[in-house]
Amino acid sequence: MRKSLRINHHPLLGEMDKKVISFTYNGEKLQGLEGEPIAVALLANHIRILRRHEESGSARGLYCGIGHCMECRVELLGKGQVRACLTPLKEGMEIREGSRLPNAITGRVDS
Amino acid sequence: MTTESADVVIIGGGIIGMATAYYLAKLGSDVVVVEKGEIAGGTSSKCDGNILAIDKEPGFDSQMSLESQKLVSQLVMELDEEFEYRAPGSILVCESDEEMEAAEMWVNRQKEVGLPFRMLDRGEIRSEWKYMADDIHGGLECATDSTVNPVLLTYSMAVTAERLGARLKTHTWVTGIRLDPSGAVEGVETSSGLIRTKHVVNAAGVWSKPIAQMVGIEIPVEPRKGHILVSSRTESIGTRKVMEFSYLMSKFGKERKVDQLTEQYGVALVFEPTASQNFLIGSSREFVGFDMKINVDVIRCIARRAIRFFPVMKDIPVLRSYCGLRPWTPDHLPIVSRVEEVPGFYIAAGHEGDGISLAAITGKVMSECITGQETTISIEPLHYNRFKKEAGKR
Ligand SMILES: Cc1cc2nc3c(=O)[nH]c(=O)nc-3n(C[C@H](O)[C@H](O)[C@H](O)COP(=O)(O)OP(=O)(O)OC[C@H]3O[C@@H](n4cnc5c(N)ncnc54)[C@H](O)[C@@H]3O)c2cc1C
Repeated sequence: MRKSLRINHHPLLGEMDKKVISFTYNGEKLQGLEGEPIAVALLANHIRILRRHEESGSARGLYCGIGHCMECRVELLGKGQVRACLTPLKEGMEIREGSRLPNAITGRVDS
Repeated sequence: MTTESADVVIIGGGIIGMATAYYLAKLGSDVVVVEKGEIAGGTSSKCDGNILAIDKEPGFDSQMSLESQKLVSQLVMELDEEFEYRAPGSILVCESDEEMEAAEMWVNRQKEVGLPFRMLDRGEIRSEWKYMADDIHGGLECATDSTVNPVLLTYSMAVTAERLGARLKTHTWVTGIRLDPSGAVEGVETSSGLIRTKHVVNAAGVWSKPIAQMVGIEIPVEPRKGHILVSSRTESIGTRKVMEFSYLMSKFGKERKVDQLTEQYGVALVFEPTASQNFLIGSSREFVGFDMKINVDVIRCIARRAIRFFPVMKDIPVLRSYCGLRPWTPDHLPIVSRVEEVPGFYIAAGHEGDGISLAAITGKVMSECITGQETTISIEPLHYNRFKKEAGKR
């Protein structure tokens, strides 16, 4: 068991007593707190890679954390691309990391 | 303050100024470009990159675009840097049978003059565009239309012109134009000194009017604002331009059937896929002066229009948006002209929504005009005289 990254008792914010819910990331069953940002739930599960750059395939993660930089885009089933830092976690969400894509214009197809 | 001299001084380092600089330098002229900001810092970096004949009236209008398309395909070999050139053709799509009938007339008129236009039926649209809305009736194609990255093209012309000897002075303002006692150009005054020259080209885009006023000439160039949305990288939706036919309906004396805001903001779909795995969505047309603020109501209206044609876009994030000012003229044609009253003063401005398309031909004919050669196409229809009576009217 890896050490929990959560702060459960915060001197100013008090107790973290949100409901524990289930979701999946890349098919793996995980748990998080209802309503916390997807990025936070993933971080608490020690997951930092949210996306592979669509052109280069290099790993991408949480960067600005406030919805501006667009780096943390993940695929949410039924919703398309969403920003992990802004999207509240809900029971049963199926999430996948953003993946490298072929480039239809330059013709690059490797993955 | 220094004094230097040049054969030709070009005011404005946008795509029109850089094309003029490139073609002049290629002919051996000693050229200086004076730009108040950065190269391509004006409208030429706040636009799309379409090089289109599909929406041009057969005749002078389309001939000019086709000549420019040819020149751009040659620039791919001539220029020092790549600029994301492709020529996949472009399409217009129709929302009703009425539009299909008008589209058919348009295609027939173009085919009569030998241009590679054809109708596309529902099935053809469906098989090329799996994400297009189901109720699109069909459309039409112009097979030769091409596309570039306008910023890269402007820079590529700039570096090549520099290699051929042109001097680029950025962050330098033109403050006045000096005339000799006979009224002919003898120099350009800038924020860093005088440049002695007998030829000045006003290529200042939406700012060309105050430049012309420096020599007492009125030209009716006004800013016509347009907004563009930039999507995030995504699975490919399509690889070439799509525009809506409905905005050509006015050419057939018919009204567009769109909601009031779409009409008010002049919104019509322009879908432009890029080499960066994303796409640009345009655009709007408004006369709101030099205001460069993003209007979220316009953005929402453009997004709504895009989703009407590509429902999948409702789930694709927009990274950012930007706006630019098209240098509008009353007849939508540019001014590419010498000014007889002020010998040595030339105008290459007012390209409205076609400055990227027409940059190459404009630069070429300007270089020919200044060096006293016969021009590749006649530029009589582009003479500034045509506005003398109605200057300022919209
Ligand atoms: C939303 C939008 C979409 C568009 N899409 C297309 C398209 O798909 N295809 C197409 O063909 N066209 C398109 N256009 C039109 C095209 O962008 C313009 O016609 C073109 O960029 C005009 O180029 P320009 O060189 O005349 O002007 P600019 O690029 O604006 O260059 C003029 C330059 O002059 C400089 N200047 C001004 N005053 C001074 C001074 N006193 N001293 C020194 N320098 C000065 C400015 O700083 C500026 O850099 C679009 C335009 C917009 C707004």
